[in-house]
Amino acid sequence: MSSPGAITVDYKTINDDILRTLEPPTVKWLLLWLSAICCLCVGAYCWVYQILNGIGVAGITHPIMWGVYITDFVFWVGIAHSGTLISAVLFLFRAKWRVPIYRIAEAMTVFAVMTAGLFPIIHLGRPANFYWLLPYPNQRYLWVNFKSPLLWDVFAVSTYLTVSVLFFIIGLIPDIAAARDKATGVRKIIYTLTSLGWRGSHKQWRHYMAAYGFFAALATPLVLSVHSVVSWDFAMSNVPGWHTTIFPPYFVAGAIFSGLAMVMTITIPMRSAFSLEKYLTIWHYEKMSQLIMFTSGIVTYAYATEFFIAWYSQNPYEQYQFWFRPFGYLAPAFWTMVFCNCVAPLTLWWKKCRTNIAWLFVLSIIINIGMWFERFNIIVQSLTVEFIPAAWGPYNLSWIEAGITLGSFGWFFFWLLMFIKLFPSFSLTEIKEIAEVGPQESH
Amino acid sequence: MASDNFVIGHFADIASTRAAIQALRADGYDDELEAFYPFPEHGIEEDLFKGKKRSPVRRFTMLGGLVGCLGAFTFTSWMSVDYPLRVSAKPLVSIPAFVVVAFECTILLGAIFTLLSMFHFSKIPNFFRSPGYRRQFSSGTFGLVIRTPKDNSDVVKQRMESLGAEEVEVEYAG
Repeated sequence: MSSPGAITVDYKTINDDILRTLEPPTVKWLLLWLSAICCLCVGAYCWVYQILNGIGVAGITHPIMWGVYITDFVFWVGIAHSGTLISAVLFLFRAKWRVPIYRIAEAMTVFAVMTAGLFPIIHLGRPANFYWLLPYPNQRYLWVNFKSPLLWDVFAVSTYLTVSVLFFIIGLIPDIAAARDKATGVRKIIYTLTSLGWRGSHKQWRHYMAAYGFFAALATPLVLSVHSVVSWDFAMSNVPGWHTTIFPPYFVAGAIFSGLAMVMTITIPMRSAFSLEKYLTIWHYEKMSQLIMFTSGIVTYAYATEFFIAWYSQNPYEQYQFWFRPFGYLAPAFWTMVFCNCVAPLTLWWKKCRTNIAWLFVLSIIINIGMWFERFNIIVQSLTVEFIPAAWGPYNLSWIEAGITLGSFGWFFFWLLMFIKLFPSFSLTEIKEIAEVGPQESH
Repeated sequence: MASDNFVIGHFADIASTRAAIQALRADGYDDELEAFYPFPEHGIEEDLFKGKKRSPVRRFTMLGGLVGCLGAFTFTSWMSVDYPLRVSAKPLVSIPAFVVVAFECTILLGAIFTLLSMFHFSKIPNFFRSPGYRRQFSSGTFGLVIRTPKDNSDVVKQRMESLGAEEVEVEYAG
């Protein structure tokens, strides 16, 4: 009997099935892509408007100097996380269920970090000077402040982007080579160039596998470090609601939680659009659901810990902050978060829900809404009621911020949809590797 | 100059490929034997690299990591002294704060060195035609290629056929 989720088709069928995703786009794909471009245009218009009129057109003002832009930044970095988790951490654990989803998860990582990276720049008063964040020799004889968590973040996010792109490319090379050998015309030229002349000889595979292992080993601590560093942007300051040591693990778990949900949001429609049910089985979704249940548990526990510590600390500012979150005027944001991240995922305790693809799709969107609100609560609620009541102030979301947030989704899906049509979005090399085909020895 | 041929055998599965490699290595073929396969196969690798050195890529990963780590500690410390910014009465060179930057640079340089050394040792990018390579080897067929003197190619061809090759081709190697 074959193992659960086993792929029992022969190599050539795998090759043909996966490369079928590269066939000319359907009307549905074109409509999706055009809607992504429309959202992107809205975002671009809003950003240009903000550049021309100044950062004042956004709703951020004293005391809430970090509003939706930083919420979006943390949200997108979080989305990026599970890509590396799936490709690197689960690779080291030899978890077979990662194989059909890891390429699309990696693509998601790369495009999500590309999206996240825009927000700190959008948030700058003078975005053209963003490179001042980097330590480079300049005529002002200035160097950056290496003791600032914001500077750590520059290093963490740029390293994460670079390493995820390299890891992504290294995994793609043999697959593009397979696509090259079937392609004709312009595509053949593109794939010949992008596969870098890969032949899959035993000498190449030997160095490739060594490098791949090291990449996974390097990316594993990196994935844990990036969201920890992002959480230090908050936790290193003494704002009530931010100044806490549980932030790094809490952020990392939340990131994996939201990222896995996004993998589901993306792969469920793809699976039916490209008829890939035999590669992405219910078993794979059940495994993802179990990880979502686990991370949802961690996130819920972290929320509870925050309330407990606020009470236990006897710090009136901290206590007020955690009274304000569920009962203040921004309470709907808090309760949305609790419903989406703590209550809705409880349905996954039933096998019926874990194996119901339609429900998983709906739930994955609910979770992503919840995770966006989690970051909104951390950032906006904490800044709304800080220390002295005279300095408290409300937050008024402006249409510019809403437009740019919509634009970020457009930007993300614009790249992702293009990638799906241009390069193999499922790793045919690794699917062949785990396929149980004909008479072969164990390996 | 003696002219050589490539004898190219197509094999259907891992088991027959491995059996053929073991037999050919027993026949004395070593460096002249090359295998092409569509996905990393540890068994084939084991058969071909028995008694040979491990991939040197790991040394470069180590080197990159060290360069990144030491480089980051050096530049953060030097820059903090060169442009002194007193923060909360902490020492100018605050190693714990620099650990984050050093950690990121370790990973970054480690990854870049790994990638470049992999490219170097795998001889990519290489856009020239690779002798003996066939398109099928990237989709689902396993290929064994032997470079042999022209007058010996019939013997090798027969040997490949006897080892279960589905198809055997001969290509002029020059």
